[in-house]
Amino acid sequence: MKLRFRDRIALFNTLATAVATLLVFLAVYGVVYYSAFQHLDQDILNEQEEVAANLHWKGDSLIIYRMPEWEENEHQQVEVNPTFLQAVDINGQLVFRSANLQSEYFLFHPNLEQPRFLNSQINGKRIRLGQFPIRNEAGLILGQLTIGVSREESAIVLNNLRFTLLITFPLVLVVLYFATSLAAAKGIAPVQQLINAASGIDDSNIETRLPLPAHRDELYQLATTINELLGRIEAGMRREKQFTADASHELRTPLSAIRGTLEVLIRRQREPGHYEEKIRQVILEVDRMGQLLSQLLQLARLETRPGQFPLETVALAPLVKEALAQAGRAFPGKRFQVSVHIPSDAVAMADRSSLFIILDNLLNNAFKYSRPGGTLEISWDAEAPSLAIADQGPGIPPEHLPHLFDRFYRADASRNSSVPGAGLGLAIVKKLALLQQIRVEVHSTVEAGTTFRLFFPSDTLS
Amino acid sequence: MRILLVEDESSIANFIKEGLEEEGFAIDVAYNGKEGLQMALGYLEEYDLLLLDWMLPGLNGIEICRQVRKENPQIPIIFLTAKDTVDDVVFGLETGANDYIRKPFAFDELLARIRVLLRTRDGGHHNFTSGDIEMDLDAHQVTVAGEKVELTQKEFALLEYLLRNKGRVCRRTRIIEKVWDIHFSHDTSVIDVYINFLRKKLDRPGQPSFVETLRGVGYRINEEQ
Repeated sequence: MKLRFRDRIALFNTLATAVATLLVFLAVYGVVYYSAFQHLDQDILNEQEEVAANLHWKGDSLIIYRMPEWEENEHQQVEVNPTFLQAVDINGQLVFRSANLQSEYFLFHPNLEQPRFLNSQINGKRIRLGQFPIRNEAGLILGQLTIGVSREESAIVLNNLRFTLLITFPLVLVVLYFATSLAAAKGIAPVQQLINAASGIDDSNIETRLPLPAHRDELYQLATTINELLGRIEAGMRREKQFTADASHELRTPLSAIRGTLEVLIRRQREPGHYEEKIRQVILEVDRMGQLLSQLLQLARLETRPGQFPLETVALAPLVKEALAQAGRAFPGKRFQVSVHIPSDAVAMADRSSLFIILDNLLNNAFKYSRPGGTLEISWDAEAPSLAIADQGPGIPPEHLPHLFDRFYRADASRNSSVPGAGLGLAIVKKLALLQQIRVEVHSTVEAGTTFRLFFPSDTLS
Repeated sequence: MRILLVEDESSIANFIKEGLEEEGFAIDVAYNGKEGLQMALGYLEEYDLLLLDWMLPGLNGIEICRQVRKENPQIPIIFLTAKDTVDDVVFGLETGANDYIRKPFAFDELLARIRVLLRTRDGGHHNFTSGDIEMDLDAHQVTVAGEKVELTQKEFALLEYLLRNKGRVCRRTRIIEKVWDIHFSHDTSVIDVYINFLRKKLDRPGQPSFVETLRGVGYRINEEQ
């Protein structure tokens, strides 16, 4: 059975209290029981002293002097505080008994050495007995004296007490259970409020926050923690939404251009040259879509990739040369100086193919933005160790630098510009660098150029 | 009919301009928000319709729409955008746009929507007549005494502008602005060339020309007596 939190608290609380209450009740009962009989035993001892003063013996036979006191009421009747007396000799032969005993006989214990007290009954009345050995001067046991007093009253008191305790025990527990359950419910009411508020939050109202409790307690902390979590989820969702919107915009644009261009083209007969020109434009747009799709795929694969790339020692000079050749093929018309300062023995810790993609992206950007007559400089600093790619392009205004590596972010913000690209290249660079423990820094001065610097993890192999 | 197109994506702007020009519209293109707003507000009287992309560098289409609406509550505005959720459409229309076309779109649909908006603006007028010349904008055809006449798009656009302004003087500079585009050379002699084409196709021998030349000023189609 599944218990609610409040019921669980109430149950545990009640169980704990049940044990404690039981102990207390037992102690109370024990103390009352003990003190009740101690009282009776004291009465019996007093009586025994009195009787003992009237006991005599000759040889080994008991002689009892009849005392006027024995004619007292308490020894005659059985109703009100009777005191029973019985003396027997060593063989158990009755020497004397009080009138109220009538024909009753208290059991004789022949081997009794020490006084003892016990509960018994006589004629259906509950009594307390004290049995004492009767000794002569030599300490020889001559007989046995038994004194009985009524314990009816004590028994009633004890009975009442037991009854009261037994009745109140479950009653206390039941009341306690419900009281605790109520208290617990009240105690966790703010939690319930948090649950209600939190369960009302889904994708559509993720910007909602939980109301904060008035007191700065654990619940307050819980609510703020959940709110912070919600904030991070919301930011992530917004990023994803923005990304999807950007991606769809970037894909729809060439698609719209292709469709529209072809549609307008076939609206009427045209010169062959016109067809050729339009088809070339369409091919460019298709290429643009293809490149965008492969970048999106690359990014998606990197996003879901678990763990780091295994690093190896990569010779930089040939890799840079290869990347330069590839970038050169992508921008056949560009004319500017390229100067490479990388010693032939320069190596870095990286994943070779990922590093190549990074270089390819950075060099593509550098080629895109380099202006005729400018210089593209690629240099290696073995101390850092770092690789710098510095162009003398138009530079990037400082306000754009923090977003440079965001997906679909383009500093020039104009798709009409002569510079192609969707703004995914640097996002890919950032992701790849992260997976190889490469730190990327960018410095840029407007109208002077931009430098990207790759800081490699220090070479632990050498 | 003169349309301002604000679109940052040149590949899209190109085909829209080309296609609409072939349909007889004069198209000006602004490639970013700022330029678009300047052109829209600067020549608002000249434009019959605005085509706005939503996401633009600098200043977005929504903002341009708002600013234009402050100046002119009537001019038809169509949003042309890759944003396609219902919320986007509603937001776009609430900003003051008359219509909303999602990219990618069919060019014919764009054309049809432009014509609908212009027709609505004209109070449902889509036929113009002068003498025995009749122009049906829906069918995009011209007849003289019931006989169909083939016109090029420019000829059609020029005739449409003259007919729309029947009884009023059409100044040469206005004709250039409305029928050709704003970047067209200041040489207005091209108008005379096209007027000649029209006269050859529409005039009856022995009768006065359908259009009157106002030397140094422009042209006018006169109201019937």
